[in-house]
Amino acid sequence: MSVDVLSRETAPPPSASTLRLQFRRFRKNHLAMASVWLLALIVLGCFFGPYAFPFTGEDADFDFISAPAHFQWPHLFGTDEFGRDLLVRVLEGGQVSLTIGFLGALVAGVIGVLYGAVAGFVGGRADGLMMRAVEILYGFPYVILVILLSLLFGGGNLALFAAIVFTLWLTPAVIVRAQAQSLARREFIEAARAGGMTGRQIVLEHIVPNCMSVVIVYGSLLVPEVILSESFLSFLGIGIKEPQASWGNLISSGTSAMDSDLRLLLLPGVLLALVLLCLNFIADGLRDAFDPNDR
Amino acid sequence: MLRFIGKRLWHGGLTLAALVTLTFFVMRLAPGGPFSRNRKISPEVQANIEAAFHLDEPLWMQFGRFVWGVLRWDLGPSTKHRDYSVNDLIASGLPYSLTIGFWAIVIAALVGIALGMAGALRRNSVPDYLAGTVGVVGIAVPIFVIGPLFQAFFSLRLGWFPVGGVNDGARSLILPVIVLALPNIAYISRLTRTSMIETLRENHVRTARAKGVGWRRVLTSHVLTGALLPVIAYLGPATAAIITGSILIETMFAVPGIGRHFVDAALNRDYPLVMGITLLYGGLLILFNIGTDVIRAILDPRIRNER
Amino acid sequence: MGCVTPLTQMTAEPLLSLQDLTVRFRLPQGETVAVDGVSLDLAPGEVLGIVGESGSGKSQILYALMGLLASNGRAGGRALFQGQDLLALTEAQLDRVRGQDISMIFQDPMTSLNPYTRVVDQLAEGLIVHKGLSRADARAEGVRMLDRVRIPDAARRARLYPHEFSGGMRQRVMIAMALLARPKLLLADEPTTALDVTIQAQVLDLMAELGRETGTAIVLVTHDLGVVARLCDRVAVLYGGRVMEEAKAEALFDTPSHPYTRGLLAAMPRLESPLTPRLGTIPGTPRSGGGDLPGCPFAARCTERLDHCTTTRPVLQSTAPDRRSACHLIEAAT
Repeated sequence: MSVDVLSRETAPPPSASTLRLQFRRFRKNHLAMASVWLLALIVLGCFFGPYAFPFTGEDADFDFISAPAHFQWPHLFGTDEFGRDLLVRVLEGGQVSLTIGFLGALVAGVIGVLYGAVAGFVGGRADGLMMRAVEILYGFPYVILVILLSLLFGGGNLALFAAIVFTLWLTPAVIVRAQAQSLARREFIEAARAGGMTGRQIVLEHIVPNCMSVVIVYGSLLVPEVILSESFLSFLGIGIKEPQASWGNLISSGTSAMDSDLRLLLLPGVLLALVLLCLNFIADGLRDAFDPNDR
Repeated sequence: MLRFIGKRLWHGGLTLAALVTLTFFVMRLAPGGPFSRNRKISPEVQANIEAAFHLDEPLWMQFGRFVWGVLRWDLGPSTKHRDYSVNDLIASGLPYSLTIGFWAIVIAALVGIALGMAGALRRNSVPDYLAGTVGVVGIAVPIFVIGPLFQAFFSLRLGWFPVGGVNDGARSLILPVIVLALPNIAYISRLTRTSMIETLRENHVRTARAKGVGWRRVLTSHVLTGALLPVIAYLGPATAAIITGSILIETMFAVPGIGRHFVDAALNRDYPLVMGITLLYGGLLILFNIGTDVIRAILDPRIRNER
Repeated sequence: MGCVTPLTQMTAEPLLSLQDLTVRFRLPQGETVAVDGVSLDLAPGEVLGIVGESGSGKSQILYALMGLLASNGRAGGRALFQGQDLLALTEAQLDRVRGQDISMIFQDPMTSLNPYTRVVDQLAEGLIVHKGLSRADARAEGVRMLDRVRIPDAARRARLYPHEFSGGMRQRVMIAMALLARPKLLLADEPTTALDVTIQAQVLDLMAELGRETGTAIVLVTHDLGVVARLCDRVAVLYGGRVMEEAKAEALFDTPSHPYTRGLLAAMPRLESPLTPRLGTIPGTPRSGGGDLPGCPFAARCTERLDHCTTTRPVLQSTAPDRRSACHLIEAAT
């Protein structure tokens, strides 16, 4: 009997059912749900769309150089000055941008969550030191850090990815730490400690799961941030380099042709804006559904 | 209060030192060097040049030299623009960057706060929808998309402003300022609106209304402070956003400011110039963060007390 | 409504007279009625308690009088204060009454004071605006009042900010602020609910004492019958937005006539009563707001329900001198 009571005490507020409840609330948000569907459509289009064409985004078609958008097969939106199909390039660029966006947010999120959870749970001097480090990194101008890091890692996709992740794990760390700190004082953590769980078990089984709502909300905000960073760097010529396409460098090359042909700028620009818009609406919807303080 | 500022300054100095040190070593550890691209130069000449810039010395000595230079307010010559010192380059670029950044932040704050307040006081009115639209567009459409579109429309199509450069005086800075301000207008108006709505719901505002001192007075002396505190807190991060944005803006509009210098310098491994601009940006950001904290502490006694 | 039968045989004209006061809220699900035709009179200097469970609409009566209803709320009926209908006033006209003739004390002292302004300036504000006092005079007046609500070292404390005060002290500041203008009417919305039990009595006594000194009438809204017993001359019991019973305080406690009042009193621990194994409870959950109900709002939980209780609305009528009750049982008995 006493064992039973203890295990009930140690069990955190049932996260599965609250999560389900929160997602049910989210599904009632029409704007957010529409964004989910549109985003899914864009993601699917980017990853499977190019297979419908008999060429890749790096193949030059010398019969059609700088062809305008005439909506005719096969170059629906025309080609660039090298005869590469614009639509296929934009879709392939989307693969890069979206992959970096979601993967980067995931990795930055995981690092931040673990760091924050440990700092908040351990507390004391270690927490002070860990948070001072975050504070100092926060004081850095973001651009400088990300540009320098991508140079340090030697350029290329992986370097870009590492640089972005390295600069964006701070916010989730701070948020999770605050959450973990308040959790660490709660009775069920005390009960878990009394029940003989190790610190590691408590962090992984109690602190992290109970931070999930906050993490999901802020994680959803990370995705557009990562995508924006990637395209920002690629636009400056530091990130993804030609001939590989990403939305950032497509927009950049569209910019140089804007006096004659806005199409090269508009197609990747509109797609990027749509994705960012969807992600923002989804993040808003998640916050409304998850954050009881906001209601 | 003095202790509060002193502590912030001390932390700021620490941050700046960490930033500069990290930048220095990251820069040196990154593959490539300032002269590695010029294949035409013979090895002896390259060695001579590197010796002239003390690049042959061990890293710690170079670092010491750099620190000594900072203390003497002399950042040395640029490795790319051989005839200019870093001080000169920064001095020539800073006025453009500061002008654009200053006006962008002023416009963003004024327009953003006005839109946000109008939206909060008249929910679902025309200004509220306007603010909502600006907010959505400003947050979803990055400046490197808006910028070229504005150039295409206002400069190429309508011919109102020059496409780029700074030869047309104030007129050539209008578009960069507007484009740079836009995302911040979006963010600030959203922030103001939500915090204003929250403050209006607070119990102490109800107390003030119950005192019958008039709506105007309730707004100015009981709502405004609380509603603007988060906005003021954003001014620090806003500086960072402006710095990030100005790098894009200066590239897009061909403004010879320090933002553009920085990207060029980083790509060309112009070590002294990178260090100089990092120092400047870092210092600016830290000063703004401290300023923000001080203003918040003046307005909110609770922040002052926790120190 | 023709059923308005004020029980007061007071000599003076009532200070405040609620006539068929209703408060409705527009909600996404439709309209809900929080206060449903409440009629009450209050004599100058009198202390009236309004008792009810949470959601009975008791606080909304006060908010309606002060023009402080939430933006989706709407008040109907009349609320005559010295013959002037408060509900018909514009915001600007209301501001000449609020804080001057009528003051209000709120439930949560922790959040009801402006955190960014010194306490003394919050006290002085009303005097400067309403009485045209100079800042220095108003502050001096404010410090004097803090002293009267027994804030130790008032002159120094006045310069502090609210977060430097304890909950009990903050509520005393609120009382000082409310009584500073010597209002004719003080509305108190659960003034002690958020406080420590040990401090509750102090704060209540202080409020009553100062009210007597300034000749201020008080409407005290609470769910705590102990508070009512301590302070009030007269009590109105509210349920589902309607007055169930109204009587002199002693009479109500000695001989509760309405089944709901009896249920409430049975649920209240008393010193003089023999040790019973457990306190009484009222079955069911309290009804809050809700749409138009044909019968008695309490019918669903009433143990003495008659057949027509769910279909016909009982009328609030005099059952004895100084006493009104809305119940078919009592109607049947008389």
